[in-house]
Amino acid sequence: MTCETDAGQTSGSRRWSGQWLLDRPELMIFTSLAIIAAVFSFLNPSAFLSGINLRNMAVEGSTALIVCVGMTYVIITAGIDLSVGAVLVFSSVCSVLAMRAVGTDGSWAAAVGLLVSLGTAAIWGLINGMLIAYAKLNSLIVTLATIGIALGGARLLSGGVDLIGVPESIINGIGIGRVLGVPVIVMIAGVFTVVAGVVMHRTRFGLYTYAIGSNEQAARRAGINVERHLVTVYVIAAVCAGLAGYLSLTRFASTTIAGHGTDNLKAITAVVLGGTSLFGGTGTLYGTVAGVFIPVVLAAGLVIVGLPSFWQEVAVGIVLLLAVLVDQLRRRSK
Amino acid sequence: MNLHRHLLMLCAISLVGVGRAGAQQTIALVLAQRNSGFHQAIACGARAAARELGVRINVQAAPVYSAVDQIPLLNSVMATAPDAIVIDPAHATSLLAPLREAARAGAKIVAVDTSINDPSILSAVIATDNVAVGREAAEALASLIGNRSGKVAMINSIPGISTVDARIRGFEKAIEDYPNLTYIGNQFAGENVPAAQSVFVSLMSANPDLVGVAALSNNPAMGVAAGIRATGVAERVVAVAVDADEVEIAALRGGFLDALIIQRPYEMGYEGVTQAVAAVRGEPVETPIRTETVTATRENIDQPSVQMYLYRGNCI
Repeated sequence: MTCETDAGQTSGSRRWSGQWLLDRPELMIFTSLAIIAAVFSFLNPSAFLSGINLRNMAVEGSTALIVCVGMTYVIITAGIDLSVGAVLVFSSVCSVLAMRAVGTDGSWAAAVGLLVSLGTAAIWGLINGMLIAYAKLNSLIVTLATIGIALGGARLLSGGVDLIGVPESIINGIGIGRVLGVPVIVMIAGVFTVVAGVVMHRTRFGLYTYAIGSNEQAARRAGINVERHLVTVYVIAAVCAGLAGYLSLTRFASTTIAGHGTDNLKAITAVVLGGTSLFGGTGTLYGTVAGVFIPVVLAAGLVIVGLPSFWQEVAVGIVLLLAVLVDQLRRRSK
Repeated sequence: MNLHRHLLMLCAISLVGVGRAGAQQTIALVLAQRNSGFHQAIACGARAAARELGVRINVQAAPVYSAVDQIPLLNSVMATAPDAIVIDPAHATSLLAPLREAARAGAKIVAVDTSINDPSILSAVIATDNVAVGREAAEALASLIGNRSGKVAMINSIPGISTVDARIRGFEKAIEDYPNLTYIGNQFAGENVPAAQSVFVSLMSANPDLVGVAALSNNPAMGVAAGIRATGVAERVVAVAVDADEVEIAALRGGFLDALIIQRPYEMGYEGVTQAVAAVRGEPVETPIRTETVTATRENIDQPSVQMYLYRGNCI
């Protein structure tokens, strides 16, 4: 995927290559990512560049990336979805229950599990979207409320216990599966992100998403069915969470009800780091890719260099602040 | 010491890359939680053993007690190719695949506090006999209540943690032996202190004849203590808890909790590293090791034989 959205503004200033870089926040953030990776590669090359670490970072980033794809769409419409972690948990609980009900361990059970995961997630997206688009409720409040309902529902369905009974075939085939050394989860996330990127940057659907985020009134006057589009965007965000929930089942061989309490904030952080504005209208999906991997690479790298756990929290916070600060300076210098 | 430690931390990034000691063995301790006195004590015991045995130790702890946070941490630690991993697995099933991979990569693996569903990849297991912990909690509760009769209840964290489940079994079995006590069941409040407090207050209002309550791990115990303080029933309700975090000890001294069943996490960390080093060096390994417990009350809390087991330290 190539960048399309702001090509018009930049074509005039290409003579000075520095300006060209400044005009592209996602390139700045890619540079930051490259610098961070280079520092760790220098400090402990044998560990940081080892297969297990590269795979670990790729898999960690991939599951987060899928959630962030949906979040990018939502934030570009100037909305927010805090319920992604809760929807992830809810859909993964439903998925396990469905796969257990099927009983056999085969492609049939795996497919039912995937459909249930995506389907239940889509229902949550529909609920969020309808309340936000048609009932005109604030997206922050709506999705804050659905967190509680979805998480409580997940605990009711599971009895509060993390459920096991994920079919071995998908644990081995997807969760820990590799093809030519590349984890299957990474390939799934890669294909998924490319498709979502093409939709965002190359189709009318993507264009409408930007239009609603930059000026909802104008979009309405231009004949866009804003309500329907918003509902679709929230369904996309939820389905992304559902897919991530299914992949999380295959990775952890169980539901992970307690493990997703801050997924929403992590996703928002990644999307904003990637250059998407919280006020809507601007942003790119490939910026989000870099935004996802900065915290992931930092987390892994700081463990590898042996920084104590509490100092890691401090270091990650500082780097995130620096990244946002640099981005703000860039905007002001324009 | 403290300044030295901080300087060391600040320099850690620049030092570690350079300082790869040649023949010295490295043991990694991968804890499932960082904000708990229990885990601090494990880390202190592990560091002490590492010092005595002359091995390097890398202590890492996940932010939240969940496999989602512990697995990437384990993988990052494995990238540094330690000779052995000492771990308290946050989930018996989820940790299987990454620990199998770690074992294939050649690391010896020792589980402390909790175990996993396939113990065959473990060199040693060091844990408390948690059924006994539950039984001791029930016995302490019954003896403190004496010959009064009434209802007793339990408030616990999360179902599905093998240690907590075993304690609940031990408690429920043992409480049957006291005909003057009517056990009205267990409520789960999550690892959430305010939630445990509100569960206790609700239980108390629904059952004015409650004479005893047990909380078999630290977070619900702190909630119960806060609930007893809020409702002003410390005089007539006996509360027994497991673990010895600072807040629990303060509650014991203040009269809100009446007995603490204390585990020995320091010993878990110490034995964990000791057995891991033995496994790496090809020496005989002792497994499973059952760590003991000690029951603390207001009367004996200041005795050295109890003081030495309180959960303290700054080792993570």
